[in-house]
Amino acid sequence: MRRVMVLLMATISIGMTSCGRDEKVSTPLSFEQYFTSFGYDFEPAKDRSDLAERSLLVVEAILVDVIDGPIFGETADDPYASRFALFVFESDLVSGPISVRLPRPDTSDIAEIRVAMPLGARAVLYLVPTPDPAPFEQKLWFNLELSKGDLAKTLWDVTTPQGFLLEVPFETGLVGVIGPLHGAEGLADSPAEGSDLASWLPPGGPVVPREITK
Amino acid sequence: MHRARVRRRVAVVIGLCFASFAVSDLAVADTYGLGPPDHGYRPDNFDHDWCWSTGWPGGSWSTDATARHTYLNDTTNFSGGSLQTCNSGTDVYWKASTTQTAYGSYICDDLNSGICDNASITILNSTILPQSNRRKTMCHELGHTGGLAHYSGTTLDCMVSGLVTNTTYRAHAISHLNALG
Repeated sequence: MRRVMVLLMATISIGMTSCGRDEKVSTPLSFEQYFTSFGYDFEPAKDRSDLAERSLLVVEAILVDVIDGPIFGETADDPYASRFALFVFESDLVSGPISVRLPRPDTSDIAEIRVAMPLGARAVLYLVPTPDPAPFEQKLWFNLELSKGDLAKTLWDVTTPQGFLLEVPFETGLVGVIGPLHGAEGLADSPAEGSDLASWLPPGGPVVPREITK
Repeated sequence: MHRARVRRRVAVVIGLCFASFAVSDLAVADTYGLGPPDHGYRPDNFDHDWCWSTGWPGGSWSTDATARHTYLNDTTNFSGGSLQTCNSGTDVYWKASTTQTAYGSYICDDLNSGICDNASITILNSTILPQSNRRKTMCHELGHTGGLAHYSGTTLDCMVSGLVTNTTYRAHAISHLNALG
């Protein structure tokens, strides 16, 4: 599984760099450069069912936009703040947009990220609501509206990095499913190569809380 | 294009790449510094300065993170790094947040030709991550700032993912750190 994902990450850049890694960061920001700017320590899920059980929302969706997200710093213009992007998805099963919070490394511009992303791409997402910051931490967040438990207002985080799957067009005109966040930590029951994106949904199908069901 | 043909062509493309990666798979255990999601990037040098940044609770958190830097300096060629006020030359910004769903995150904020000049580490500030596990996650993310990759073997090493309590790097990882390569 690890190889498959590494290969798929490599394949997306075939048109630009063949099968190898392009170490040089250059402008404009590429899809690969963005997704190789950050990583996580997390508790890997064993399989799709395990990941779904740990999720509150599991759906197939379409990536429609990438916009500025919250800022975590001493001030909104703190040069050492952590900035986030919101990957905005729409799903036939969910009322309203699904805004998934991902890091925005400080040297990346939101417009550059948007251009680098395959807007219109299909995705399978395993998500949990982004927790509201603890009261003592709220003064450190900017451009963030507290959800106070309202799922219609919440931002979403990936349950684990394994739960962010995109169907991506390659320059060859082909498409494939990649999990750009999770690297080595694959799922034991990952669908076979070439499987349709929908087969990455859990065996029990999508999971949508009643409050946000369309 | 017909779907079956598309799939066959995807398989061919993937197969070609697979062949090249399969050759290099012998060296998978040796990969280093390639960047996320599995690796960190190489740092610019052995002088690994750090600072306490947004949301950092201080107290035992500072003690534990400092201990990880001390371990890095004592067991590898890293040396000379010290705690400082955050500035544009600081190598590692330590942060903590209650809203993170992962135990820890590593973000390279200034990447130049495969070398990361500044990285942010954010540690989950929650009872979900008790102190013993938090120390491991600190070790894990600090390892990424040194360029280390995730590890899935059985030797005690904090570069494994998840809730474990190892706070050391295996000898092989230390060799990478010593060579920055």
